Amino acid sequence: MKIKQTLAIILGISIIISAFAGSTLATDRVETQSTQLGLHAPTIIGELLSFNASTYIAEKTQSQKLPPVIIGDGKLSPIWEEVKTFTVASYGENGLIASVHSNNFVYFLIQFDLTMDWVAIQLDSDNSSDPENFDPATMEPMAAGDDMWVFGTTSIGVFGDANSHGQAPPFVTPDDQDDLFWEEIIINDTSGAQIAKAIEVGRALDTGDTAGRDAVFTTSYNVSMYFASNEFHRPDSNIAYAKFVLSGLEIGGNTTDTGGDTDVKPQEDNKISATVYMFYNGAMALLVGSIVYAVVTIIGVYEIKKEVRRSDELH
Amino acid sequence: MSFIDLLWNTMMEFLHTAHPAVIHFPIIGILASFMAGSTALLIKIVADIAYHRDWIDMDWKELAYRFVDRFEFTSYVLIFLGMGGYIIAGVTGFFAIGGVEPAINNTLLEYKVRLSLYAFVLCFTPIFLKTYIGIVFRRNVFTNESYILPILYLLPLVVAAGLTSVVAGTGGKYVYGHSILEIFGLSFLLPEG
Repeated sequence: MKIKQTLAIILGISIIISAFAGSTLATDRVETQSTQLGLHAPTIIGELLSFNASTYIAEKTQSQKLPPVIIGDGKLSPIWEEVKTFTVASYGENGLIASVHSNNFVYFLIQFDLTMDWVAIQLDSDNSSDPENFDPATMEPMAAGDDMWVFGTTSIGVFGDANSHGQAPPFVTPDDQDDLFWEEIIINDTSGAQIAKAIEVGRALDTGDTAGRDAVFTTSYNVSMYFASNEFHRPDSNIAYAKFVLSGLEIGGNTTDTGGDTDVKPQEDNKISATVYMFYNGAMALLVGSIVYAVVTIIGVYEIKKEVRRSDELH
Repeated sequence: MSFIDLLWNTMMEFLHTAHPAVIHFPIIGILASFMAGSTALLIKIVADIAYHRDWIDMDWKELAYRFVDRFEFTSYVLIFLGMGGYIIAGVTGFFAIGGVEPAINNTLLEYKVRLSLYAFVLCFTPIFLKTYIGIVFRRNVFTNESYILPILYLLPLVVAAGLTSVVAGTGGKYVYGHSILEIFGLSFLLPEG
């Protein structure tokens, strides 16, 4: 009786877990904000947790879809070879920028010379300028509190999601709610020499971070942005700038491009989070294992009892 | 660099680079466990047939059963090696590729992850069966009259060993572009990718 009860409990728990996993999968999608993957976590626990911290994608690659942007794999996603890139001279000789978006996320590729100490996308998130006018003189991305994304090496001291502190020191402060997930990749030339650094960065289209004044990206609303670096970071220093909507980007200033389509969707729309994937498949494996175990145990116990009876009769 | 930093960096280096080495633990553990179990069953079959046909006496049968007992224990221990190896190989594999997300976004690696989960869980059945029979009935699995018990022990193990072989073959295809399974005409077991 105890065995049957134990088996019933094991089966019951497995079924409940599987049902919960299935319903979680069906209702989808644990769209938790990602944290940065890779080697930046300070502890091994952080490293392990970062496995499940991101949101992404479990659907298999289909030939008719573009590959997803994978951040944390240590290499450039192949999708960047298939989208329009814009030269950004304010990021150096190798400076460029590109963008794709899905239903929920926007991704930027930011490439800059290794000689640059820092680069930033400065967003006019309070819309204080007139984006339709597209006049750099009226664009004010560096108003105090405006959204900024900062990357680079040392001197600026603030990286990732940040806020402008206006035109006076400290110029930039970290955003209390870090909504960016990103990784750095070193770019080599054909001879193998390191020439540039690329940042793959992703963010939810709407983070809901009103306190951090995060820009909201849509297909209809222009967001003015500056592409600043430690060499070119003031409106009068010939930086590249743009007005950006999800469907396209119009660029001006220190660039050789004008504008183009950025309405490129990576394969992401049916995504399942890593957490949900592991939970669902773990639960299914557990269910199958439990059934096998139950069958084996029932037959095995019956058989061993028969064996014991046979031995008792012999003795 | 402090000692803690050194330790941390060494551990990180290991976790990121050890996968090609440690993948052999689950392969060897589970396949060898199945082979040890099969050997035990084979010796049992031969000893029983020989005893029933009066080719050997009880002393020889007991000697044969002592071998059966040893191989059974070897098989039991090797399952633990295989399961421990699966955990280490899984963790280092996720480190090597950069996390769970990149793995499950790759057709071949996602297949590996899924099959590994099933193989790992299946390994619990022979462990639980032998432990249960040993503790409750003070018996071994293979040294009884019954042939059903050894078969019950080996069936999940052979499935787990098969799945482990496919996992290994898929890994070979991911790294080298082809797999040893293809040589044996088993490429249909592997996904395109």
